[in-house]
Parts: sequence; structure tokens; C-alpha cells
Amino acid sequence: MPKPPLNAEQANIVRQQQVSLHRPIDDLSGILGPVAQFDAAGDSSRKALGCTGPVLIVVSLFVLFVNTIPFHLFIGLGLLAAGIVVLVVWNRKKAEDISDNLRQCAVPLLVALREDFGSDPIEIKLDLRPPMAKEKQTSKEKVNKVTTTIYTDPWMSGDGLLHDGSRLRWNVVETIVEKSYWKRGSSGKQKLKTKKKKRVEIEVDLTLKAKTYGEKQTLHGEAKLKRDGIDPIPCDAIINVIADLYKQAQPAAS
Amino acid sequence: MSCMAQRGLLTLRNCDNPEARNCAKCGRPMCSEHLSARSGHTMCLECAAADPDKDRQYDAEWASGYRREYYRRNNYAPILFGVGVLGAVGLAGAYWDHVDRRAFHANAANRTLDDDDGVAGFGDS
Repeated sequence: MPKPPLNAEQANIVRQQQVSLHRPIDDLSGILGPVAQFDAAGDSSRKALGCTGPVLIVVSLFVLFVNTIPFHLFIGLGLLAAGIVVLVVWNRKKAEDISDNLRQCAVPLLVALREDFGSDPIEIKLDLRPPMAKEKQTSKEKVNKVTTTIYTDPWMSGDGLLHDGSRLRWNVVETIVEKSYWKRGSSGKQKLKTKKKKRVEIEVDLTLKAKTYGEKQTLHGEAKLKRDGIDPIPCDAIINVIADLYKQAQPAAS
Repeated sequence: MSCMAQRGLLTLRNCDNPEARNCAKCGRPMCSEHLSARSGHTMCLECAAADPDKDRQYDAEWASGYRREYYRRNNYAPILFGVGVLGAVGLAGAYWDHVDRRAFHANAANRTLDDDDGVAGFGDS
């Protein structure tokens, strides 16, 4: 997948890994969609570079010490240099890596609800730093050889007017619990075992418009999900909470 | 005639933009916004989204397919505002039933019960 060109605003989002925008829905999709594609393309190139670098270094060491290959020193040093360059490039590209929450949850959510939002600007805040970034670490303790690290990631909040006049506010907070411990394998080797679990709290407030629904009222909905691993939640999880609120709404008779 | 697509996911409303052309697959009149660019603007977004070869880009076509799939998976019945062709006006509070009712009614007006297109479908046995 080729990387789409980014304008200054989009490049700034990738650099800062933070989004705070107040724009109509089509503008938001137009800004965040290419950033998500850029991240997807970057992930595949980072993966390729991250594999190629170590392979080149291992091959270079092999070539350096096998003197049956002609010019093995030159070839080996060349491969070693190439491997180091690839690893340096990979390390730089890692700085461009933004949370997969953008392309697997936020962008699909905005596109799916594109026609539900009116033409008024929507306020959206996204924290696109990796979910387990140091800044998001809230506690770390070691009990009985097990180190438990907790990360709190309030990564998305939004506020906007829907086409039926209702006001929608939503907030997503994820808590990642990482447990790591050393375990001795059957061969006697010590191995570091790590397990990650995630709790997701979704809160939604839907304020129904009196003219459309008879009386003005704010419906509150929330969902708490538990997941193994740290993969992003699908946008369904958020839409389900909003849809449950709409199931309670009764339109006023015309 | 006006576009027979419906806008929204949580609630639905008629598009009612002026018709640009009929969908080559379902025959419904569609505005330019609800025709799929990937199909060369020959099919509506819903018909184009049903194509299994689609590449996964988050665009209007994806949203159309997602909506249909979301309703199917979650048995969600959205509030439909402004039924228009069905006769109701304004906030009808009716529900969409997977097949666009307006298209069904518009076709029914021009057909008799004996009509058969030779293809098995809804109501055929």
C-alpha cells in the first residue's frame, strides 16, 4: 500500500500524535482518513525493515567468518553496514507509528456515522500515542515475582450534533494491565512471560431534541468490555452503546 | 424522480436529492452522491458494497455495506424520518425493514401480481 501524501496539518498529527479538532464530519474524515492510511502503509514498511535489518546482520556475521567465500570480508562488512543502516531507518520510522485505534476504530466510526452528523462542527479529541507509552503508565508494582504495570489511555472523546437535532457526546477510556514474570522452562532456560489484558469503558450521553422527540432528555449509556491483548476495539462497540440509547427514544408524532 | 437512498445509520431519512441515474443492479434512481465511484457511477453504494472483491477503504461505499451488515448482525431497527412516498409526512416513527420500502412501493405501483421477472426472489416459491 503506497503512503498517501500528507498536508502540513496531517503531518503535524503524525508528529504530535494528538488530535484536537472542531470541524464538520466530512472535514474530519478528509483529515484523519489519509493519516490512517499513512499509518497502515508505515506499519507494513516498518515490519519489513524490522525483519530485514537483523537478517542482514546475521548473514553478514556468517559471511565474515566463512573464509571459503571470495572477498568475504568486503561482502560481510557491506552487509553489516547495510543491516545497521536498515535498523537505524527502522528506529526513525518507529517515531511515526501512531496508535492503531485511529485506523481500526476512530476512522471507521466517523465514516459509519458520517450521514448521522449534521453540518455543524464536531469536537473530537484523540490521543494517538501508543497505548502502552510511558506517559500513559499509571502504576507499576511487583508482588510475588509478578510485575504488574497499568496503563490508562483515555484516547477518544467527541461531542457533536446529529442530524435529528440530538447532541451526542462520547468518551472511551482503556486500561491495560500487563503482567510479566520470569519462568524456568523444561530446558532450564529462564524466559520472560508477559500477559496483557485490556478493559474498555465507553460512556455515551445522548441529549434528545424536544421538537423531534417530544421532550428534551439526556440518555446515558455505558459499556465495559474486557479483552485479551491490546488490539483496538471495533467501532461496533461504540455504535452499540449509541444504538441502545436510540432504542429508548420515541419520536414525537407529527 | 428523487434519489431513493436513505441517509444515516442510527436514524434514517430520505435523501431526496435529484436523480442522476438508475442503479444498474437494483434499478433504483440514485443521486450522484449515492452512486459508487468504484463502479464507474453505474451502481448504487449498497449494490457496490455487496461486491466481495471490494478493497477495504473506509469510504461511503464501505459505510453503506457496514450499515446493512450492522442492522443484520444486531437486528437494529432505526427510526425512519419522513417516509414521503409511503404517504406519511414528517416524523413518521416507522422502521426501515432492510429493503427500501419506497422502492418496493414505487415498483408495486407499476406492476401486477402476475408479473414475473423469471428470477426467484422475495415472494417467489
